[in-house]
Amino acid sequence: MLIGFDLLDRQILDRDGEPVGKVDDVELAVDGNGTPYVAALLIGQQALGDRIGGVLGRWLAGTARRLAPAPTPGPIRIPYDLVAEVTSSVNLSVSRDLLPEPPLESWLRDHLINRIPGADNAG
Amino acid sequence: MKRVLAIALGVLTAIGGFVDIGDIVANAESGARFGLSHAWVPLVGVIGICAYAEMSGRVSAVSGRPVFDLVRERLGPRVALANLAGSLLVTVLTLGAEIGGVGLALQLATSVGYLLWVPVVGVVLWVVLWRAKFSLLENLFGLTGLALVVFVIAFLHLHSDTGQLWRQATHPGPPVGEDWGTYWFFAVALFASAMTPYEVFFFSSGGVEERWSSKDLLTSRVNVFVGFPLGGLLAFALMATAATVFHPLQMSVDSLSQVALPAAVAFGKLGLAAAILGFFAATFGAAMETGLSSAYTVAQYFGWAWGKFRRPNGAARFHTVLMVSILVGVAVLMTTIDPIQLTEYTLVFSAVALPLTYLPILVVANDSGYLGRRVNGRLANGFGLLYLVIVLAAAIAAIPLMIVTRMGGG
Amino acid sequence: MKLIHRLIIAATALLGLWAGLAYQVSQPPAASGYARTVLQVAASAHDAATTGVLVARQQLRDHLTDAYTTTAYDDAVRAVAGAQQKLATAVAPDDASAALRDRLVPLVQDTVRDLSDAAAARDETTLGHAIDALGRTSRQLNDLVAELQANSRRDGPP
Repeated sequence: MLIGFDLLDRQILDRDGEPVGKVDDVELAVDGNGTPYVAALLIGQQALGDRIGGVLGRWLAGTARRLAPAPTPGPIRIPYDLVAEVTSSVNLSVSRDLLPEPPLESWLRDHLINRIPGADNAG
Repeated sequence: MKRVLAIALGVLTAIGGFVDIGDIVANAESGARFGLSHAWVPLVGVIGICAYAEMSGRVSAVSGRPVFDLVRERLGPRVALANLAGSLLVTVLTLGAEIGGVGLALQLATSVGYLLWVPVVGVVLWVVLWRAKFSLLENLFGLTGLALVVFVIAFLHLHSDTGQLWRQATHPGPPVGEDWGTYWFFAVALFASAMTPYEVFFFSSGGVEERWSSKDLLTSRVNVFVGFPLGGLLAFALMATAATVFHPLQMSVDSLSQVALPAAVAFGKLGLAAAILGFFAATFGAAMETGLSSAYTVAQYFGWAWGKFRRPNGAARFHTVLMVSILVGVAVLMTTIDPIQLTEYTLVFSAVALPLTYLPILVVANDSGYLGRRVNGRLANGFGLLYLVIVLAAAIAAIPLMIVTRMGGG
Repeated sequence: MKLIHRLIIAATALLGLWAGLAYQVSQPPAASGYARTVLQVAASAHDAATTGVLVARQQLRDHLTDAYTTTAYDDAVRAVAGAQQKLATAVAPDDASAALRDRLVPLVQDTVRDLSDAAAARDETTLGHAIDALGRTSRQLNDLVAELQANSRRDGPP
């Protein structure tokens, strides 16, 4: 599998097909024999911004970093063990409720969306 | 039987939903100034949008994912981000133009200035997108947009000089008093109005919202190949009636009130009411589509949860982008820029952004990783490549033509 | 390429653009540019007057709603007012241009007056008179536009 072509930037879906995010970057590790392998998928504008680079990338990553909750400032990390299958999307074997929620989503939901009546009703 | 009804409803919606403020302005202006000598452009544009909408509908139905969800994988994050920025700018400007169009239609109905309507329209638009059921809305505004059929009937009723119109249509080129620069400028604007990028964003994401699967390929194709050409016919009727009523007087058209006039000439108050209702439904429907499209493109680039079928608090980022887009659209109009002028600028920028939309679709539609055996056949690729060349030519020519002709002013 | 280099290139490009714009603006108005403005204003006024005729005729046939009529006249008057302003802010570069302007100005004023008359008309006779007046103005403007177009073709493209 080519990481650049088959993994990076793919949509990640949870067990129920709900979107979790894109593979914004991957974390590589080296096993006992010195062979590198994909340890985790990284999600979030921090990882994406660092990968894009330049002024825009730094700004993207910087804003995301400021929003991230204090104890876990890095991007969201999904261990590769949780990946069930890679098709046109990356399908996880768990529900997204078990994964950390993106900070921007929680912030906007708590500070904006949930304050508007009807935020609970699907269209 | 139920299935046939569903398909018929989809087609009617596609017809009524095809026309937006860009089509209204571009067709009426060109008909008044150039008669039917641009008649070939909407035809070329409609075939193009059909070819590409079919591809993006097929991608949605087979892979269950909208085209622009897949763009980043193929173009990489940087190019896709640039693409997103360009498409988003054009779509939000178009949203502003559509809201302005709704305001103008309401002004025709009430004589209250459009600028007073704009904030109201913005709020109503947001509430509707926040609360109401998606398919219901789409059908409601699509069907009401069919009122524009009044221009087709008016054209038949107006005793136009068919010989003269036929001569114009078969001899493309500027009439006396116009030059080739303005002729091509309007040709590019008309082409961009038929192939407006948001139409495919919306079409493919809408397919996913309605949970299309391979079984729905037929529905998608009937919608595209029957609905879009008939919708294009409504737009063309605006050109034909303007060519009948205004062109012989050697005048140009620069307000929505003038565009509605041929319907009143033919059928009096009833015709006028149908025209205004049609303008309202067409622009409001397009405002919903462009608003949603802005949010779709951003959410799909970043991989966020998106869509009207989710609870807003399950897609907070999506709904925030939607809200901000509407605010920006309203703010643009609040600078008191004339909505018709805003539409003209939007069409030029749309023309420039066309390749950003259509190249990725062609790439994804040829990817067997997503589409399996449903990848583009020779015919689809033939049309796809041909239109890619046309789209590139229009994109390159748009800005120089705009400068040389001073927005078609001559 | 270092950031500073990029910045320098961007700044130079911006400066060049700005200088070009400043040069363009500081040029004395060319006669052909003024002629174009006059042509545009005449065309706008002609369009407004002709629209007035079309609208008023449909009004006589009772084909229009009041709200529509108000809006249509408003749109037409606003278009002429915009054109009038454009003409007022442009400076005529020579006597020939000034003569041209002096022929156009009364016609534009007539258009505004006739449009207001039509919009204010309460009975068919007044409206009929307004139609006649608008039609006259429209024809005169049409002749002027044709003449200006012929001139600009003779002088070649600006």
